[in-house]
Amino acid sequence: MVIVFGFFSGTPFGLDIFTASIILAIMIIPTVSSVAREVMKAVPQQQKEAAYMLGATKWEMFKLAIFPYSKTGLIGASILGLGRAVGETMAVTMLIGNATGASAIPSSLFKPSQTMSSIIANEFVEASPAGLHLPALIGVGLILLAIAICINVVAHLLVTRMLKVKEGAINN
Amino acid sequence: MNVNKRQEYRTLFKQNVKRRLFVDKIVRLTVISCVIIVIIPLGSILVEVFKNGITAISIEFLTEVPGSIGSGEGGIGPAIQGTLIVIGMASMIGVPIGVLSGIFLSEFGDNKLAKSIRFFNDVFMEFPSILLGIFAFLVIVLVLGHFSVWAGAFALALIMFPIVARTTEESLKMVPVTYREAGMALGLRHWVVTVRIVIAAAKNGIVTGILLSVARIGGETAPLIMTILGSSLFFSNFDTPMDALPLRIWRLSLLPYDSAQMQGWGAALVLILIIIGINIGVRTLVLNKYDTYRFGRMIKEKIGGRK
Amino acid sequence: MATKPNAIETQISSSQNIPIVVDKFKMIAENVTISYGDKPAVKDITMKFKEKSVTALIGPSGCGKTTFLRCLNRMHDMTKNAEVEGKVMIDGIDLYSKEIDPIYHRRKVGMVFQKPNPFPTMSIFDNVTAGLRLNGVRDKKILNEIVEDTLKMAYLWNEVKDDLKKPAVELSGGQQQRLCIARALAIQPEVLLMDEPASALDPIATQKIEETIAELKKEFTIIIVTHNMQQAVRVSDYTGFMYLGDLVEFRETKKLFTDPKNDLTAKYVQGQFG
Repeated sequence: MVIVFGFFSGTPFGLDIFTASIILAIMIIPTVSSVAREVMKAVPQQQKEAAYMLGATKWEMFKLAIFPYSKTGLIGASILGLGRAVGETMAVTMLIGNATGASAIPSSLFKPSQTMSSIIANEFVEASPAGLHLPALIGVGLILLAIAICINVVAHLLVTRMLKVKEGAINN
Repeated sequence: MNVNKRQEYRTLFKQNVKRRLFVDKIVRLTVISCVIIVIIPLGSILVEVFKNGITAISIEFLTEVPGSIGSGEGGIGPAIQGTLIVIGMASMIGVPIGVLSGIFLSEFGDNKLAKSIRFFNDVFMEFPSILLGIFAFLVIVLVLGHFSVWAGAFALALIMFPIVARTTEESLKMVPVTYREAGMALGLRHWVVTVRIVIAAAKNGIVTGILLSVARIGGETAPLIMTILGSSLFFSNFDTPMDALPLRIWRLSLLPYDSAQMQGWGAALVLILIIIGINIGVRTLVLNKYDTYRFGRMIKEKIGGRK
Repeated sequence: MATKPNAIETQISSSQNIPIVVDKFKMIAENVTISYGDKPAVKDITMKFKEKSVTALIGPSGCGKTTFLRCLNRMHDMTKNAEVEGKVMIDGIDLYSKEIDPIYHRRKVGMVFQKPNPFPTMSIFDNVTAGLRLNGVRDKKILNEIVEDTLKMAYLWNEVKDDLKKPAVELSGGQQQRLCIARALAIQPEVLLMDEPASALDPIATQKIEETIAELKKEFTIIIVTHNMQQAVRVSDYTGFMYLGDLVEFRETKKLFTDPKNDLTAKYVQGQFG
């Protein structure tokens, strides 16, 4: 479904890192915000009441009670979003410009480039299994796999730790 | 500490409530405007797809094979057919595995093994789907020597089952423990209680999870590139390449012709409608009550999904 | 002992007719009704709280005493579908008037909750000074002074004076609760609301908290909710007995327990139900 995001550019111009980043940002918002919401909902009501009791405004209540309590979980949520952004393929492939060769190392944010997943998506079908091309692409996939595992393991550890604190709350 | 001292302390307090309330208001406005900034692109995607897609849709568009490149003729018949077939097959593999592992995690999930399975299930759920495509390519396409529907269904099933497992587990856990106890008290066996009482009570949640995963795989493109490849012919057998809507949309969007772009919009609209259709259909068939709230969330998730 | 008929007693029976004497009562709740949805949890309660006294609210669980206490600090603002009618006045100013933000009042009213709820990520020092920093007090010397004073008032100073930088969660349950009392006292309130402050604590910690209350009474107006009748006898000057959302009887503690006027009260204090 998300392939629809690729159309967002409308024209064949402006296919660069910047455009791809904006679309990625939009795409990870739902992930980050829904996890962040869960995490902040896990803050016990008593904590919020303690802040309000001191005469805090809603924003001060957030700073006193919600944020310190859910900090790890919020970091976890952001990293989960990062994980999604790393693996995102199609929208990026459609927008990043798919530069090859030397120009794939961009000199500015507004130059076309490529990502690990976009090379795989673009070249996989044409790569012949006989030569080194296909193994090379699968090697790229391996690196992507390693990065994805690291990011997601860290993110889940942070989020689950946060949600565990909620159950065995500080109040004995 | 005496009363005078207290009075003295009170005089040290700044009369800053007005300023603090003002800051509070500014933060509130900032947060609200952020929400609006988020909603605008998500909403405008739907609007754009409907606006542009509706003009492309006609009977031929929905039923015919693609015309020659750039002609603006022909349709996306094979892609629609392919998407339905792949979703169906992936569900046939992914749903039973997912539901059963969800049951395992919820009913027998209080040990180390289950805890680590649950953790890796969560990690697996967030994997880039293109990696699962490569995996399916390695174990099916390379082994059989050709692209096939099987490989595509396998890759999508891999994406599907962790989602189904997780949502199944969550909804089984929500069934009150008293239901189980009541069943146990009647002298029923554990599996009878699980099947007859717990699963029946958690039906809605399980179906929602399955529909969520269908919505997710319906839009997957990357793993399909390296498994079913794409084609412009109608389905002939499971051992040949086939087309699917996301693939067709991608290919169309790469073409420099306006007509192709329009067809791409049309295909995107058809994809959205198919997934909404599957949802409404399954819900009215399976569930007694139509749950608007969950449906709304699902739509949101779908727009926000990835790949 | 021949005492004059108590002002509070007379006002319960005919709250409408007697003029409000503002300087005598710190806090006045008039015709307060609190409902969740359609269900009223507290029905038309009128109560007046004397300055520098301890008032206890007793009654079986579910009688609405906590609900009533929370309305004295506008804590129901955060509860969905809870509705408060009536007036609550502190020093003659209505808490529920629309023009004034509750923040102005919460500075005058401190509250201690049923379960100790210190801010887990903050140190003991930061917990006590959290409210002061909100009010713009930043002078290190004054902060130190207030921390020492309030921790002494809460009988915690001797136990923690050497490690004020320690995270608050490392304290025991009773110490955490006394820390919460100190945190509430640090904003120099005039009224202190306590919601079963000893319910989660062991007997020794309970005793310490009761000593604290006796000491605090010299300066504060304290309203305490308890389900423990002995505790009410030990710490309070006035006691209100609530049942199913009604205030059944409200008198001096000694009289209420020795010579209850109402049958229900008599049965309750004799332990026949509740």
